[in-house]
Amino acid sequence: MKKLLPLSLLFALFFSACGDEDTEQEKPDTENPVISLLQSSPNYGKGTVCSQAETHVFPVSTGGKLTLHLQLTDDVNLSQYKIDVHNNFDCHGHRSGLRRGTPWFMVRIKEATGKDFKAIEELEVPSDATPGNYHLLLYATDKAGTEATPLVYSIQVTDPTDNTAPQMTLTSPTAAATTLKRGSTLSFTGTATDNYSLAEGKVEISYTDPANTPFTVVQEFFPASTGTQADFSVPFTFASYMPTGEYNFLVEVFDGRNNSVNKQLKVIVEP
Amino acid sequence: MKSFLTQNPSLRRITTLLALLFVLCWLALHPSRAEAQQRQSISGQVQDGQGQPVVGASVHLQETLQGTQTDALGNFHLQKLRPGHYRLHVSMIGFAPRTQMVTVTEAPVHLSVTLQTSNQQLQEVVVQSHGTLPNQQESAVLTQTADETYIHRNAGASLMNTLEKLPGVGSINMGVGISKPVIRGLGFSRVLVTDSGIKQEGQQWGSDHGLEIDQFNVEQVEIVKGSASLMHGSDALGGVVRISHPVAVQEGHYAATVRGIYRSNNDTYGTTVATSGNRRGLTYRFRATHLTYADYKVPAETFTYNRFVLPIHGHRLKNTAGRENHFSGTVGVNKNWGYFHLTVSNYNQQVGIFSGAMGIPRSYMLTPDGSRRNIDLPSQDINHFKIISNSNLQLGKNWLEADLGYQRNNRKELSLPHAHGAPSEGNHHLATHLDLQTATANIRYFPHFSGRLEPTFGVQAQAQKNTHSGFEFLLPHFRSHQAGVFALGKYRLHEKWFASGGLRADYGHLSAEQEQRAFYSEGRYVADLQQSPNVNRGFWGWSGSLGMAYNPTQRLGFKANFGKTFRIPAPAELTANGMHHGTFRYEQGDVTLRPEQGYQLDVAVSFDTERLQLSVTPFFNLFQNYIYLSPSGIFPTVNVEGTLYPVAEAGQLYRFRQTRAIHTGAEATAKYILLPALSLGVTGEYVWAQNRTTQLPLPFTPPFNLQTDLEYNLPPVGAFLSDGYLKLNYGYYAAQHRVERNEPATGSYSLVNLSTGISLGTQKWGQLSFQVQNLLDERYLNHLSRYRILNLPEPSRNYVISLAVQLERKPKA
Repeated sequence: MKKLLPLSLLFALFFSACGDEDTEQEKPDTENPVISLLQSSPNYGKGTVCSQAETHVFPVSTGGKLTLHLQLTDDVNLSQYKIDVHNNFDCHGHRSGLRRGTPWFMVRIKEATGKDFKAIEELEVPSDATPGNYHLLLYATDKAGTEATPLVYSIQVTDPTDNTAPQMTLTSPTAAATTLKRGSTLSFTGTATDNYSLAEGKVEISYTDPANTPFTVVQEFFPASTGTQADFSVPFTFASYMPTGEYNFLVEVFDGRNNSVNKQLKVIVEP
Repeated sequence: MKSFLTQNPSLRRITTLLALLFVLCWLALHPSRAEAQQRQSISGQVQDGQGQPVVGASVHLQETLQGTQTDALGNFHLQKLRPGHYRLHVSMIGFAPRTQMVTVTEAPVHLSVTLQTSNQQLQEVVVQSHGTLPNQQESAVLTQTADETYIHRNAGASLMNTLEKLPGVGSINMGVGISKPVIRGLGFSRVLVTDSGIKQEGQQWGSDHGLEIDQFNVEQVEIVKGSASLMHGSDALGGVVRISHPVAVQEGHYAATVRGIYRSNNDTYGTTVATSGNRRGLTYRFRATHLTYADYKVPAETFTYNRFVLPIHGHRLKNTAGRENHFSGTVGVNKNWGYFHLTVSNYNQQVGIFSGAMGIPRSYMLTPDGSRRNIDLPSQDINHFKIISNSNLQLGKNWLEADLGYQRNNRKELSLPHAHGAPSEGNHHLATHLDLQTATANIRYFPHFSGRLEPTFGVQAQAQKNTHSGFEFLLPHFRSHQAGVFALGKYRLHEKWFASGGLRADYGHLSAEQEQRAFYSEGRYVADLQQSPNVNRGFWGWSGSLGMAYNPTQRLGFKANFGKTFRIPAPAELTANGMHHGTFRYEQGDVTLRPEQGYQLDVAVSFDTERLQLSVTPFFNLFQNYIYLSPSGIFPTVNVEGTLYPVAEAGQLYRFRQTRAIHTGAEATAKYILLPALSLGVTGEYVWAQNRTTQLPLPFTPPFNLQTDLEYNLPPVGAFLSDGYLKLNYGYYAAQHRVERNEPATGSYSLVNLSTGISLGTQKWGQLSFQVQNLLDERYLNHLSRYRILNLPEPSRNYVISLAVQLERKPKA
């Protein structure tokens, strides 16, 4: 053991040497800044985004404006905030692979100072913006690099020159309720018509199973060459492992300006 | 094949090396007549402490991997040996293994070996074809081994899940199929994994990149805690996970195993088939593994992120299913001139990533897609191919070990294009494809000086080439080269004192050409911008260590080791420039980073009696130039001809910086044998780490945790059922409030696991085992999980059933 003593003394000396080092600050600033939306014009409300209900949706028109009254607070010193608008046409999970029209796209970085900072931001929606669902994200940081919890909203852009919904005729299934056996395929076939254009519009099919669990089946986009009329046919197979009972289907057709029409259908699946 | 070889310079180089080695072997196999002198033998007797013969002990020579068993009188006989210096290794279940230096000259050698009983070494010791088996008592470096039995009884979803209950060992996980090693809170490029002596080169710097190892193919793991830079060079600051594979040393030994496994939580069906044998010194091992698993279950119906309450339909995390197919084959010769083993293996994993893990999760992304077993986007497709040769050749009276390897890691990350506003390149989903090829050579020479000094001289070299494609940018095309020379040795000062130490010098070089990418803003093309800079940098590094082992009595042991280590900055740390999806961080490398330096002290104190085993292993590390990601407080912009354009969808800009860091902690374990068949073990581990610039903790510091194990070994039932065990594990994990800036704190939790099993048949041809993981179905967050930042709970209760059938033919006595 004796031989270990000089060794340990050496280490003790070595460790004590690290004590008197310059550091950035006495006590690190780890308190998060906060970004909040005081008021807005228009106000946000409830809406349906990608067939799910959301509570923070701003309705705006192409050529219109979204005004945000923001407040940023921090215990030491604010640094920056960032506003990010980008499209959510593909619901961030489906695979359209398409870039549709001229989506609204806006990123803005601004400086913030002090401990309490207020700002009014006007977001102008381009008049040629493709109508549809968008995401709005608001970020903030302080000087130490601590991040505020971002605020996340949806924006629904509509076109005031075309807010007429398309029309849908289903040729299959025609009845409000269909009964079939597991393993068989049901085809959702029909025709959509629109007063303006169906180009880059889509048909979306979703359902809830007998346990009321929501499922998304398919999102099919109409090609850019589509005119005012489009045919669609979406087959759906009830696999042998799927539970029997009552399924509620929603077939929804969107035109090129994101106006939509939907039809609800019941399917009773038997073993 | 020919054109493939000509197109592939590093592969060609390796092939040439292998061919050269074959020629060497052939020369060794056909020695000149002058050298074909008479052969000598070693014979002896193995006894226990009371002088009674030990029957059935395994005896082999580490240099030639030729071995035998002791007969009914404890005698063994190894013949046809060449003159030279050998390490004779004797092991037997229930005894501490023993290695003895033996010099064979003109006359036959006769010796007597005494084995000491040990309650620590209950399991069989496996013989490996590379490196030396450390003698725990004499080594100053702290190592821990987990054998096939441990791995089998504690089998988690991946190798690191299985090993994470060992003191000081942890894993960084993403879901259930992806995990990477953490030793005492250090991970990523600070922990090194070797397989058959060759450093595994995947993409170990990323948290969502798993370790590409088939855990069924791991029969023995040795974990080196603390610096192992001396043997391994850069990247071994935190420690090493050394994976080795057993060699059938006895001629005429054959075995074949089939194992089936089912895990209830994610409906895993797995099969692994293996065979091995030794026919007159010609050895082989083959294994094939197939696994398929569905989305895994968590004990929750919802989770909260941002202000959203998000659904977990059917308690299953959407798109976490996977498929794995692995293969490994080894052929080798064990002769009196040495040995040569060649291993070819391939690891393939396709695994989904939770649908909400890229960007901010929203409920419409989480609706079921109708199948629990499909792998949808985002996903990973990993393929890791390796050719490794391990050989040992006689040079005069001494020996030269050589491990040569070529590996190719193909990592594909599939997802939807996320840079909104930028046109996607066609309709493909290949976000990142990294193709990393590595050629490695380790040569070690063991000259013989005296009985007291055991020196090793070595050289190590590695060449690497990385190419990439895909619509995301992570790493540039680069080439790197590293080479090191080292000398290390162990010196027996006294019967009770052992000194060890060494020195090593390394040089590394990294070159990458500037890469440009198109920059889009507000939906239009702005300019071609530099994505990553020109890199042409060389790095010198040195390591050294000095350690002591002192065993005043058979029961008491002390170890202390002081080491200087270094790490060359990883390519990502030098060149990164872009979004890391999921975290929203915009990460920017710094091409001027200097190598990390570490000054590391490790101490171990152990006390063993018949019934009690205690050990305490504190450590203290000081790092200089420690590389970390520092938040800048600003959002990233790019400058195009004087105009600043913001980068879309990016969160804060983080820059790689360097600082001093302190990293300290300890593990303590106590095991008490309550009854001959019943034991109680308690293990605690704690890590404290601090960035000296920010005075904040280092990220991913594991929380304090305490593992309590109660293990009962059942008595045999008739002749048919034996080796039964029942083990109850209770793990307490404290809350972790010591977090880096912007890293969320994690609450405390407790987990209970149960495992039991039994061997079937008089010849133990079958092994049945059953585990319940997370018995109480605890909902908890794991501080080291990649899904932690999404507030996603860890897997719910999991029943694991495994049945193995083994056919074995032992050599006739």
